Amino acid sequence: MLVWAAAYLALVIAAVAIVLTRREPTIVRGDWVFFLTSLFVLLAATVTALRGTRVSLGVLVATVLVLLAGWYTQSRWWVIGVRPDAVTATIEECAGRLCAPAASASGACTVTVPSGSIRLRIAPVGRSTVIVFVASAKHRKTQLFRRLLAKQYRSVMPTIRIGAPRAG
Amino acid sequence: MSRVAKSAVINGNADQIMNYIADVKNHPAFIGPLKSITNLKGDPKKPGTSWDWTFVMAGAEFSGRAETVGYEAGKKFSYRTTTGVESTFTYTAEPQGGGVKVTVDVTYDVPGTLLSKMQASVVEKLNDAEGVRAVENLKAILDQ
Repeated sequence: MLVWAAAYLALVIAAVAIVLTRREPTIVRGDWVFFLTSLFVLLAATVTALRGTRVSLGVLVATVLVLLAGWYTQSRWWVIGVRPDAVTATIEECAGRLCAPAASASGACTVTVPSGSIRLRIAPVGRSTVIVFVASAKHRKTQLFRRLLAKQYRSVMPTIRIGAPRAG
Repeated sequence: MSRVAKSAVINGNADQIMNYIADVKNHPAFIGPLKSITNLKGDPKKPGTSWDWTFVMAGAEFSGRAETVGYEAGKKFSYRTTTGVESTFTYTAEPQGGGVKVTVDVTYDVPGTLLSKMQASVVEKLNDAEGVRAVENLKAILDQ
């Protein structure tokens, strides 16, 4: 089980290194962190069970704590290298592109969709920003809003760039 | 030359719908793999106006350039890609029942070079499942 913990730690360190060495703003999506962490735990548990290895109470507690931490991050997105006022402007721009009215107050933003609203808390974290999805109405526009907002920044995963357009 | 067309009926005004579609900066909002539109030079309703597009698929970003072919208020907006795979996207609006039937019609050539073939796969992906999703997304955004 220690091997799995070391592998998870190595992945986290690699992701942090990628984000911190990048010049472009990067988005770290808590929902993806939780999804990938859960997938990793599931894989580790399956392999361990198939091998018939006994799992200590300490490992079980640590696993639950990691999953709880993942659950906590689920509604949070971190925008690395961008300050809250710029993130708020981007949120308003995305809402406008979706014909969804947006209203911003200090550290908060509400985007209205047909079945309700998306309520966001926007807070600084050093020179970066954390967006907390406080409430998300169930509507296709909500999904489109989340996807469009995520597109405004680079994801943690490195991408290959093909056929770059000419400058100017 | 390959061709695919997808439609959806939207409850709204044809002028407003085509105005929204002709603003190409709105396209990343309803086309899933389209990450961004940049370097837009001028009014996208005017023929010849060009911009850069970037698609993201399976961890790879494909970029290229496109330009407006034509625009008719409340009826039609058309543009073509001018680098890599040659394709023409035409959006049309026509009254149907109490709404507006919006159709996206894509024609494209499957090219010979490797890079263009890779870009063709982007267009093919858009044409099939993503084409349906794109018009459904347009409906979700513009339905009144």
